[in-house]
Amino acid sequence: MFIKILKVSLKDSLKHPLFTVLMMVGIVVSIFSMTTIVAIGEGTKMEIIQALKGFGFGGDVMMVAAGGGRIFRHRPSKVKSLTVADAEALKQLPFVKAVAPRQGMRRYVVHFRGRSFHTRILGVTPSFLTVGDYQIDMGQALGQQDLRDHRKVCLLGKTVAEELFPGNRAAALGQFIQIGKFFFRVKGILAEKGQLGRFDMDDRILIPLTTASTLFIRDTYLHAISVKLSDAKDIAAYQRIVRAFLRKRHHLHPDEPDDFRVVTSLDVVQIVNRSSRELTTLLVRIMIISLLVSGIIIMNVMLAAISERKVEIGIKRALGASRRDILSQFLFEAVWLSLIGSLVGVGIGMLAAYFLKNTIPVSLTWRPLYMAVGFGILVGAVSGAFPAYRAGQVDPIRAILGGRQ
Amino acid sequence: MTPVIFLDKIEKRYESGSVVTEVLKGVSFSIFPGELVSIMGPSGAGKSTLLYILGCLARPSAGQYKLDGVDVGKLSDEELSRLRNAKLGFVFQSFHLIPQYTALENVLLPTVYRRGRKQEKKRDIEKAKELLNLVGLETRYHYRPGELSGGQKQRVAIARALMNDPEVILADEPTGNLDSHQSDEIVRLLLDLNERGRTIIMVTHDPEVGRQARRMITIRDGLIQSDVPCS
Repeated sequence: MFIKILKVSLKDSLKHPLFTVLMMVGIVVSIFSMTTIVAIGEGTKMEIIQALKGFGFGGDVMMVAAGGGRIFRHRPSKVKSLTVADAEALKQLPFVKAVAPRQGMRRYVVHFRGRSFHTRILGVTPSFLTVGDYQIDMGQALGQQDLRDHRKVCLLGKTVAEELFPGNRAAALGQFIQIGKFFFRVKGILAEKGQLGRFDMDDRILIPLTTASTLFIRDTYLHAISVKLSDAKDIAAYQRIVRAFLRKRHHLHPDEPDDFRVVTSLDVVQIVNRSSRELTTLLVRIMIISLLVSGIIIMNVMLAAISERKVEIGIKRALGASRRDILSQFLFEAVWLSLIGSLVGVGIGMLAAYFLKNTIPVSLTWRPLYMAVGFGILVGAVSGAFPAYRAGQVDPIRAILGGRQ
Repeated sequence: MTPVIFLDKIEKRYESGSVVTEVLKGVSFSIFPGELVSIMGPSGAGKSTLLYILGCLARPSAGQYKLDGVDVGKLSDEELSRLRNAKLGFVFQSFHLIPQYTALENVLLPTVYRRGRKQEKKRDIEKAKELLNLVGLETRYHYRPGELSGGQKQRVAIARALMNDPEVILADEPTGNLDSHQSDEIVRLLLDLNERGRTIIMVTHDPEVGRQARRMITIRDGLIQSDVPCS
C-alpha cells in the first residue's frame, strides 16, 4: 500500500511538471549556495592548516614568545624578559629536542647594485633551520663559526633573492648585499616555503643571532624561542611544564602575569577554528533563512497545486482512497521533490566548486551531501505537512460535483 | 435473498449557520443483487445526495444503511474507503477521468487503493485491457481523455467502475453530458452489463433513460414518491 501510494505520488508529480519545477526551484538554489559556501569555507580552512605545517609549526613544535597576553600580535614585543640563557636552559627539559632562539622581526631596506627591497631580518642560530624545517636551496647553511665570530653572512629567502638578483638567483651566492649600513655576504639561499595567507614565508633574510644583537638590536634579549619536542604526544602537558619552568626562571611572583607566552600548533588551529566557527554560524543563519523561504515556496505551490487538483482528489476518494492515502501522497510528493531538489542543488554546487578549484581554495567533502539529504527531507516534510493535510480534507462530493450543487 | 443495499429511514440535513436544509426526510428501500434501478426526480429533490450516501461519500444524518450486510454508519474513514474501493463502482456525469492518465491508467486507478489482496500488476493490466475491450475501446488503451469523445470517455469510466468487481455500480446522470446517440450507446452498455448480472443504480432526470431500467424510484422533496417496476 505504502509503496503504491509512493509510486502514484511520483507518477502524478511527473504529470504536473510546472508545479514540480516551481516547487523545486527554491530548494535547489538554497542547497546550491550552501554547498558552494561550505566548499569554499572548508577549502580556506584547509589551506591555512596546510600553510601552518609549511611554516614549521607542526605538532611537535612550540614557540615561546616574549611578552604575555594574546597569542598573535602585529609587532614583536618590546619586553626584554627572554634570553639566550632561557633557551639554553630549556634544553635541560627531557622532552626538548632542540631550541632555536631568534631576534628581530623588523623590516629593513636591503640593497644590491642599485636594486633595493624591503624585507624582514631574523637573527637566528643554526638550529633554527632544523626546528623551522627550512631547506637550503643553494649554497650553505649558517654554521656555529658564523655565530661565534659574529660574521656578517646571510641566507636569503626565495622572494628576496629574486628581487635582488632577478632571473638568476644563483648569482647571489658570494655577493655582498647591504642591510641597513652593513654589508653581508650571501652564504646560501633558502628553498621555497610559500605563503601563509597573505604572509610570504620567503620574504626574509636570516643572519646569525650574535650579529643581529651587536649590529641591529644592540641588546641580547630574544623575541622568541622555537622549541622542537621529542614527540607530539602530550603537547598540552609540555606546554604547562615549560610555562612553570620559565616562570620560575624569571622569578615571577604567583600574582604576576607571565612575561612570555607559550604557543603550540594546537592554539593556532584553535584560533583558525574559532574564526571558521564564526563564519559557520553566519552561514547557518543564512541557510536557515533560505531554507525557510524554500519551505514557504513549496507550501504555497503545493496549496495552489491542490486546489487545481481537487477534482482528481475527489475522484481518488470515490475510487477508494482514504484521507490518509491522499495525505500520504502529497506528503511524499513534497518530501521527494524537496529531496531531489536539494540533490540537484548539491550537484550544481559541487560542480561549481570543482570549476572554482583553480581560482580559490575549495574543498569537496561529503558533508554538503549529508546536509542536503537531511535538509531536503526536513524541509519537504515540514512544508508539505499542512498542504497534505488540506488535501486529505478535500470534500469529495463537492470536488466531484464541482459547483453543480 | 439478502439485499445488497438496505436503507431504513435515511435522513440528511445540511446546516449552514442557523439555516437547516432537509434534503432527505426518511427514505427506505432495498435493492437486491442483479437489479437495474433508476432514481428519478426533479432537480433538488435529493437524488444526488441519496446517491452519494449510497456511495459512502456522505453520511446520513439519521437512519440505517447496510451495504452488502455491513452497517455503514459505524465505520471510520479508512473502513469506508476500503468499502468504496471493494464494493462500489462510480460513473459520473462529467466522466471524471484523470486527464494526465491514459485510458488504461485510468481504468487501473482503483487497484492503487485496493487493500489486502496480493498485488498482481500483470493480471490487473490484463483485466483492465479486457474491460476496455468489453466497452469497445480495444484500440484506445493509450489515448488520453482529451483524445476521446464524450461517449468514449464514459466507456472508460464504466470500465474503471468495473475494475475491482464491485457489488454495485452507482451512476450519477451517466448520460447527462452526452448527445442522444452516445447516450443511447451508454444506456445500452449499462443494460448489457445488467444482463450479465451487475447491480446498477442510476440517477437521472431524463425519463427516456430512466424508463429503460427494470425498476424506477421517484423522489420528490426528500421522500419517495413512487417505487415501481418498469415494463
